[in-house]
Amino acid sequence: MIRVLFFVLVVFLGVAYTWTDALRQKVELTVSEYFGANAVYQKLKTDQHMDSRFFENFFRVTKDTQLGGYIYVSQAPSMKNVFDYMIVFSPSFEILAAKVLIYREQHGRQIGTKRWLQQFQGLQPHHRPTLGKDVDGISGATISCKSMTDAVRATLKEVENYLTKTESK
Amino acid sequence: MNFRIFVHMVSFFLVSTYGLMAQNEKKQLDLFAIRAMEGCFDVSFQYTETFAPEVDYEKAYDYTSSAFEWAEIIEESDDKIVIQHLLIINDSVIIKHWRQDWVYEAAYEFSYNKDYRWTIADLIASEVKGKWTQYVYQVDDSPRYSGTATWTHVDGVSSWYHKADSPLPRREFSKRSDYNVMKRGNRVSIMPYGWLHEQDNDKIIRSDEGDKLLVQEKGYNTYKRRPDSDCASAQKWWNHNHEVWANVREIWEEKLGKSTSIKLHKRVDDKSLYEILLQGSEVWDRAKLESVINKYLIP
Repeated sequence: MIRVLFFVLVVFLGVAYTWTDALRQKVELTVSEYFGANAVYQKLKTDQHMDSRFFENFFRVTKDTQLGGYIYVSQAPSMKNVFDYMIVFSPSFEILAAKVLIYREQHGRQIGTKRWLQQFQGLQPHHRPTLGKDVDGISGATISCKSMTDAVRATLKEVENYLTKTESK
Repeated sequence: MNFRIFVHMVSFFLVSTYGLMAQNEKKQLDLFAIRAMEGCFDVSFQYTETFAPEVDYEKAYDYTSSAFEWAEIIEESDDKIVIQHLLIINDSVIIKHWRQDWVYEAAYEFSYNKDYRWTIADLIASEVKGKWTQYVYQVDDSPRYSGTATWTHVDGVSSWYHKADSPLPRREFSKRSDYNVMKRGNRVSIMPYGWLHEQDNDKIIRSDEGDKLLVQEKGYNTYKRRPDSDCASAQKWWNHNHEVWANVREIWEEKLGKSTSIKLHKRVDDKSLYEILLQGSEVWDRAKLESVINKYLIP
């Protein structure tokens, strides 16, 4: 029950949290790494019927007015705290990279390694990754692995909803 | 004479003599260990990044390389040994490599700050008693890093360890800009096969606000001995070129002796100092050498 409440709190925080300077710097560094030095990110203009909480942290990335892709920045629970992560999408919403940007405890830090995170590369909005099924876990970091996998799955679901609603117009 | 005073005098004499003998014996072991780094070696370089405090730091690929090297003692006295390292490529091409000077109870040290600036500071005699300072110089004989510590001879292994700030290593000098100071943990151990240079390095982002650790790194470089005759080409090269480099050493020694800090240009006219000094065609006299080195010194 406590874990459920914690998760609910984290989900709430994940959509309402304020970016720290450190997080902003890391987001900007990752944006320039994937889209080039002069790339800029802006919030998507969405209709009211879309989940505004999700789209608070979903950004369109452009470089020289050309669409470069999209990024999503949020938080998910680790064992005793929360971590900040970022998902980088191509213009066709395929995952280019998932990154853990800030991790706040010693337990489970291994989820930040590129080797583990690259399992999410290439996933598309219709995919629903599940730990132990199509995502391998890491011994000693099970909670954080599950949390990150769930976060990616939830993000892909939101993106698919957005695409469905946008295309049905 | 009172018998008790006599006994005290004899005891004092024996203890002092034994102390001096022990100190001298220890120094001889130190000298033996330092001299053991001279010779012809197959060198292997291995570096791997280990711990990073930031979760999103992506570790660099491991660095591995090898070399064939001649290390020659080019100056030696009771309190100083200078070892020049020379690279041998394809058995015939020789490139002057780094240099290490070892000084007993040294008078000064240079330490790297950042932005190619070093501070030169006097050492306190009581704090360096029985210790050796290792000065490491770059390929062009400009300073790199230095440190003072005690050689230990325990369980059959002679070793020396010190941690010193330095510029980026040559292997990352032109490739990395995400850190600007390497805090080098240098452990030199004399081994049955030659010697081992083990490193525990911190890659540091140094700014006016302080130091921030980017990542730690393990280095494991082995120097495996070969017959000296295998390095004959390098010995010949040094015989032919040692006078020029004696001048270069002397010029740098004067510069370091006169200053409390020095700051260098990494490149002048898009060339590094070693590119100029190592080009084979030039005939160098002392005045020409000094004029070139001066161009790299920032007043």
